[in-house]
Amino acid sequence: MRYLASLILALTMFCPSVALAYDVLVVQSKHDPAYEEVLRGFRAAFRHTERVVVLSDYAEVDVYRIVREERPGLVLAIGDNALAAAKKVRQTPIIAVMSLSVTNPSVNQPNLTGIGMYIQPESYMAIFRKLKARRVGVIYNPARSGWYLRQARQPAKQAGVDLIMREVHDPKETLSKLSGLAGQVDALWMLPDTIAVTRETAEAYFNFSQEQRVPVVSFAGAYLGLGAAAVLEIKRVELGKQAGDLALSLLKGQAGTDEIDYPDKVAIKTNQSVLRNLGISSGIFEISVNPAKD
Amino acid sequence: MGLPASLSWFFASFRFRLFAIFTVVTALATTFFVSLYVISEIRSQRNQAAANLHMLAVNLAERLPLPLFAENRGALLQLAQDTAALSGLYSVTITTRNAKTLVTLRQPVLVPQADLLSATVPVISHPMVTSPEEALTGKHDAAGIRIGTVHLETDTLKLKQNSRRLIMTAALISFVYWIVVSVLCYLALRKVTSSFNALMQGLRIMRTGDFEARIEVESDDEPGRAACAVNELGASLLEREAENRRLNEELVRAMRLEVQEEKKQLMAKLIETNRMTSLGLLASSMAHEINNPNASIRLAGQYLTRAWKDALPLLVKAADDEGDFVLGGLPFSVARNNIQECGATIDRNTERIAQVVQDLRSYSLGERNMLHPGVNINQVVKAALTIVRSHSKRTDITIVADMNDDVPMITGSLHQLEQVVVNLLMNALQAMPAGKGMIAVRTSYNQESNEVIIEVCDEGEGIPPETRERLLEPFFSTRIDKGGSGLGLFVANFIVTAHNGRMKFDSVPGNGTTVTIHLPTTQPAKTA
Repeated sequence: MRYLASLILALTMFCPSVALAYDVLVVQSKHDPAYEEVLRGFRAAFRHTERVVVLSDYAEVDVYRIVREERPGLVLAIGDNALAAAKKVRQTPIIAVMSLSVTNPSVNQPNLTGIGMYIQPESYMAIFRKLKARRVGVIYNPARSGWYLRQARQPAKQAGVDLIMREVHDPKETLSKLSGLAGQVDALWMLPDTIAVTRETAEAYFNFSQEQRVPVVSFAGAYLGLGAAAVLEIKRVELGKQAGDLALSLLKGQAGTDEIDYPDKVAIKTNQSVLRNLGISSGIFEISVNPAKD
Repeated sequence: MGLPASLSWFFASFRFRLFAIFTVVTALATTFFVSLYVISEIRSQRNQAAANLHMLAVNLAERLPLPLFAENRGALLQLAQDTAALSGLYSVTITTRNAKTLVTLRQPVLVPQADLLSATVPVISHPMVTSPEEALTGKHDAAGIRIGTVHLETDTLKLKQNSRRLIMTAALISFVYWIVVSVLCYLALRKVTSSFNALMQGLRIMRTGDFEARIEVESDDEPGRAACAVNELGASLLEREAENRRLNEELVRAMRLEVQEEKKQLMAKLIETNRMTSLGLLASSMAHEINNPNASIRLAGQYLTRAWKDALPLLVKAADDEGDFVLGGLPFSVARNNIQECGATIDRNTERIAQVVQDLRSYSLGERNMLHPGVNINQVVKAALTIVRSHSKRTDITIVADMNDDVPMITGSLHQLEQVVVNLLMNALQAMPAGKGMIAVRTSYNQESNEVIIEVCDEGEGIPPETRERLLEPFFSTRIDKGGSGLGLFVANFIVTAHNGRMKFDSVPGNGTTVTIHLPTTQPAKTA
């Protein structure tokens, strides 16, 4: 037992020096190709040393303790669960990516920055303008997407788009709110709002689109196959690079942690068949991707 | 042929048996397969009904996610009513995933639970629809989310009615099928077995003995070939019958000839027997005729003897007085003894004649069958020798008798035993055709077996082996053509056997024969 105790003591003394030798603690919600793409972009933009902790590999991970003991330069949280775990860290900068909740006002804290999943409203307005949609219906939860729509009002006004907004506080309300938009909108704007859009209610948007013959503009290419006419999709590698640039700036002291950025690089994708069925020329979009070939 | 006999014949026929077997097998097979079909069809209908109900539930469930998620009871009720009205469902129940029942539609008529068919299907969100999180990462769970449950029930009354109708239809069709197949089978069997019937008809005719009848060959199948074979058999039997008839006639003819020959021989024997009978009567008559004068002679001789005895003293005195004188050509001294001897000779010979005549009478009168105690075998042999010697006087055959005086008496028939010895001696004489040789007769007594033994040995031809086994057969003789009756040894054996005795033949061909008779001294039966 004495020899074993001596060995454990020796390891305890030598290991910290090794563990502390990295710049970034990467906290990843789970193993996911999309997260790997982001991390790949991050690594490409920011040469650093890192330790990756995938939460789904452990029953419980105390990120705060790791940061306190290992003292990385910053924490990169990839995914909502990773952000939730990293939020306990208050002294080390946190960069959150691939997280829908990062833009919620409730999770705002001084050392937290990152890139949200909401795309700049101007990009959507450009699409609505091309679609010649003057009245754009949007279902949202004020707590999650209210800030975004407040930012979107000005670009919408500039684009001549009249946002017809319906608040929902429970996913069950989505259907009735959608029904209320019948005949009142030229297009439907689907936000990455986890109250307004759920697996149970997402179908209702596309049913509405078919019934009312109005295009749905969404935020992810996965919805193209369900009936979305066009989507603005974040380029994940570019998102990682953007996060890497942000991390570099943070470490150099050139950037603050007071706000969440929009993704810089997005791609527009369309469903040609849906556009054709809705009587919309597909040539209005310079970049279009057929979902069947995606 | 009466109706019962006709029916019995028909039921036992090959055609009926085949028909019965086929119809029964067809009925069983039809019932079996139709039952399988009906069971399978009923199961299929039930499965189909269950599948339809399930499909209906799935169809309804696919339309329910959004109104069920929104718990829109009005929309849910409308969808449930539409489905129930279209499909005649007994009940429709829609519940949330929290088991909260939102809609329940039920028919007013109460149906037992056992008569209900039910299907429960989960209401699941569109599997392609993803949440924002999944959409952003490009992954989603294709299983969808369970929103609630649809439970449908329908009664099986119509299903049961369909099953009953199916059973009735299947039974009717199978019965008609069985009838049609049986009729066709009967017609086919009738055609097929017609050749059998022709064959059987031909066999029946042949069975009566008419082998000239021919079976008409209708086909080249097995019965046809059998008919050909039977026809050939009939022809063969016909030829065989003619051959048999010819042989039979020849046999009858031969038997007639043989019978005639035997008849001739038998008649000859009868004639011989008749002659012997007549001879016996003649002997008896002769004995009577001889006995009377013999008695007179004897009496006369006795009288002369007594007279001589009376006259002799006077003649002696005269001879003494006057000297010897001549009497009957001889001097008195010589003649007196001769005359006395003559008297004795007359007495003795007449007695002997009387004895011979007595024996002759006894023989002819059948006293020989009587068994008497105290029969002396030596006396038997002597009597036989007396008879046989007269036959051997004309030959050079010597008969030597060696009789043991210690032979005990036995019980038997003197004359029968005498006849046995005579027959044996006669056979011994006849066995020496050259007329030379010696015959020895011996009597003895075996104390161990308590038997009296008579042996007759000759130096004749002996008995050939082929003849030996037939010695004791009646009417068997090697001298039939020379007057032999073939009854000598047969009768001798019969008599010896009647005395509880036995005969033994020891013979070497060319070196003579020894016949040994063993007679027990114990008391035999009273008559032989």
